[in-house]
Amino acid sequence: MAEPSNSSFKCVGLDVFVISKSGLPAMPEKVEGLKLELISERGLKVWPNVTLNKDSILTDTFRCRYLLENEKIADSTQQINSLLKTLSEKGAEWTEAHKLWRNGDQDLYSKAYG
Amino acid sequence: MANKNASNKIALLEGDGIGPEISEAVVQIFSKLSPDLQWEKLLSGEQALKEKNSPLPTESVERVRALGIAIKGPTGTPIGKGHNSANVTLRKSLDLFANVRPIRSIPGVPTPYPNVDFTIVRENTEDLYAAIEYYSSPQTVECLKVLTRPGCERIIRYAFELAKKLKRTQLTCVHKANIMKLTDGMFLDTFREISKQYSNIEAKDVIVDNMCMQLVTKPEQFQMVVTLNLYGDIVSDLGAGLIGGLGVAAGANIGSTSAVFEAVHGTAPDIAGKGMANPTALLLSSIMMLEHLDRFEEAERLRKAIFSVLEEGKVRTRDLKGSAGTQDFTNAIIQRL
Repeated sequence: MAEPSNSSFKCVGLDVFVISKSGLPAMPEKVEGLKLELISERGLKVWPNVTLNKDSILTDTFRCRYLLENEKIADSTQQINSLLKTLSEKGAEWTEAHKLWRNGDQDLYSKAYG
Repeated sequence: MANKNASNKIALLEGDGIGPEISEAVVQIFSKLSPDLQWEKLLSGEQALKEKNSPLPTESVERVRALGIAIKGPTGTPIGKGHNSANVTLRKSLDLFANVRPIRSIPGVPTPYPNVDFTIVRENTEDLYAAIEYYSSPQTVECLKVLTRPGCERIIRYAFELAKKLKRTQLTCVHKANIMKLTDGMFLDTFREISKQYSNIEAKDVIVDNMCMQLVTKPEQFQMVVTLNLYGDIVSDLGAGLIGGLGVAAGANIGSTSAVFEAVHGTAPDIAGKGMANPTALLLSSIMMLEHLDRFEEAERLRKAIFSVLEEGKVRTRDLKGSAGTQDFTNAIIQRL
């Protein structure tokens, strides 16, 4: 892929890694203009609409992918900051977060398996 | 460990390229060897991509889950873009956490290493194959290497138990913990901890770059190997190279409720549809399937038939310097049965 240009490099969401010792975390599905797209565990989609092996979920860390509902928003800084604040206020124990960038119509982040 | 297939039905994912031809060879041979086993063909590969926009549709995965056992032909994965790997999807969706690759010199297959006999156990669901990647800036890309303590424990324990079952007295852990002190360090520490419970098995560890050198210079020193996903992917192909190539290498993916036995070679599009493909790899994987189903007598019959045809050397496919087609080779094996 050619190097994305700075001008077309746009943040369209956030992956938030959440610790949950009791299995799949209960996450808000919509927050501040962002929609919960999926939850994955070690790269494999475990929500929504997934049948799991009883042994599939091994870890206590889940990636929760939030994407902008309105992709026309040019600067998502406010939405991203609000998301983290809201999740913290709701008691989600997040351990890391990674912005999701897009270059034109090309997603600059990997898809989950499953 | 996995479901032992009470219904005698096996899922068949033919795959792409030469996949349908080598799958047909397996079906023909099994109609003589194990006529009670039935095959259920499932959509996969390019046809699945056209019809369902996925090389491995959910329906196919769920059917393999229900049947508990499958044979899988090769499927391709685009490089640098496009859809995710069907192999990795299947392994992760069904939690097939152990990839088992026997590396054994085969009579009649030319190789400079006639005395190789070891098994690689590769962790199949974690590591860089979580494929969690991000651009952080226009010039920086990251990939997360994810290991979990439970994931390390179960693959290491599986390897020790398999070593016991195969009456092996040595298990080698392959890692790069000198550089990745936290991730590979946890894997190595877990190996050392669990090894204390298997006092009859000598536990060794080797750094992965040294391992590659050892495999090329003195492969006969190894009996069993356990390692992480990426290193296992590399080292198992190197191992296949020692014994004659991917065309004669078997592979199994084992989980707690499902097992998938696969050809580990590629789709070979240049010879697809020409009746030239060598089905040996998929047949050797089907032997692993028979052993998994406790059908040891049939497994041994098939092994003897394949080895005797290869050793005799009269019917060889082109990759083994012969001129026989897929059907010729298949017929020769059926005759030996």
